[in-house]
Amino acid sequence: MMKRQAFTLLELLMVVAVMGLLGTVSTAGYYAAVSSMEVRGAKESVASVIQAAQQRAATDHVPTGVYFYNQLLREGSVSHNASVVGVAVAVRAGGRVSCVIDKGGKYLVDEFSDLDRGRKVQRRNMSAQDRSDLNNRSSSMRLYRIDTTNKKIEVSEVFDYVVERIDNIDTCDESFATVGGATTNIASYAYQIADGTSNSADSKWRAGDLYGYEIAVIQLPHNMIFGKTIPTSLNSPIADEPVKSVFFRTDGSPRGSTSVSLSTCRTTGANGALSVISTYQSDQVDTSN
Amino acid sequence: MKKAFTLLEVNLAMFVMAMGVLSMIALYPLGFREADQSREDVAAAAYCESVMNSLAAALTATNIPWSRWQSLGNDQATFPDKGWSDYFVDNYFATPKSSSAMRGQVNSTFQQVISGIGGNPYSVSAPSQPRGLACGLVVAFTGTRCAIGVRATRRPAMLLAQPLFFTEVNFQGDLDK
Repeated sequence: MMKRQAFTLLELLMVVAVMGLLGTVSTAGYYAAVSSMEVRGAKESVASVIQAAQQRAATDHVPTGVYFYNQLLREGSVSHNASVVGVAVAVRAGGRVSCVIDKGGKYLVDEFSDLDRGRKVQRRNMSAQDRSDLNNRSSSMRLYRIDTTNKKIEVSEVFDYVVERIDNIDTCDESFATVGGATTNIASYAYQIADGTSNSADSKWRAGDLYGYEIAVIQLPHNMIFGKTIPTSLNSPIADEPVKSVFFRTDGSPRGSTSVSLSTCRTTGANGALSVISTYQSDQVDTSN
Repeated sequence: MKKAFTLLEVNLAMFVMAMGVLSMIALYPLGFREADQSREDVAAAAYCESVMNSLAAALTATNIPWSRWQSLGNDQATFPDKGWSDYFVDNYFATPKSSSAMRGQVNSTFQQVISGIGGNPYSVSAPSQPRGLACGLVVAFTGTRCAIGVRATRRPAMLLAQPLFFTEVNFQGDLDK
């Protein structure tokens, strides 16, 4: 019998066919892997912001929450689709509004806040003249109204102050700034709601409301949004569309669900229209401790 | 015993090799195109980041008077038909502008914002743009918030399909002026 020394053409063709098949499968698998890595990365970053809120709740012993929303930016006329950016904000409770003053602007005063805790308010303009004014004004910020009863977080745009002479802005309770008939300077936080804004929380603030501010913010990749549907309503250049809020108690335990759905989208045309491809649930944070 | 390749075998081997070599050569343009695309993506991303950060830096200056900030917002009061977004509205989708026209518009918008806040607090200027790069810039004001969105690509018709570089800044200026 003659010893076989070479591959036959059929064998070679079989090898080529198998290699082609493997190549095709692996290419598709590669793109699927890249896509799933992006989804996994987004889910992990969402989980990390939830975890940050949870850890802050446990370490600072204050209620915290995470506010998920889609931010819409109008890049063209109303006939064009708005751009959507998924944003998650971890919110730490900073205190409670002790009174609301609605005179010459709406002020949310927290008379009992520890000025050395929480957000560091810049003390600028500390000249003698400025000190004689009612405050040491700081910059604008987003102040979150934490409504644990209805499980909602809403936002107002405010200027934050360290009020040095609370009596000068006409306190809600005159006796507050008066001790034994004499006016007393008491440093307090006060937030003035910025004029010209129309946020959902602006008209809802009441004495006793829990307020908070951002401790961590993440943005989803450009082709991902929170929730399962593409937000559409946009009557101003920029707008927020709330999706969900989650809360943690002062011991770090969650109130209800701690995950949120997020969807991957595809741009379907040059006008930027998006369509949802898949929807995922973000990773659950381990809340067993 | 077989001692040499037959002509048929040699021909077959040459054919298979030729196919392989030709396939590899055919992939070259694809590789070049991908390399070009990647270079363009990097340039576009760098440009977008640069525009976004320059504007964000200028808009977070602590000496911007509140009245000026508000008037910037008022300039787009008739939004979406006027204001910083107007270049997108200018029949862009019906008749895409050239890359150079779009770059000029971004520069113009950039300068409008800078002059709108009363000068150039940190001496920022519109970053120089890579040739042939079509870009879009939207600077939108609402209350104390300002959203900055930038896109760039070498294919103007696909501008809105490109990743959006987006950031938001809050007013940090002087409320009393």
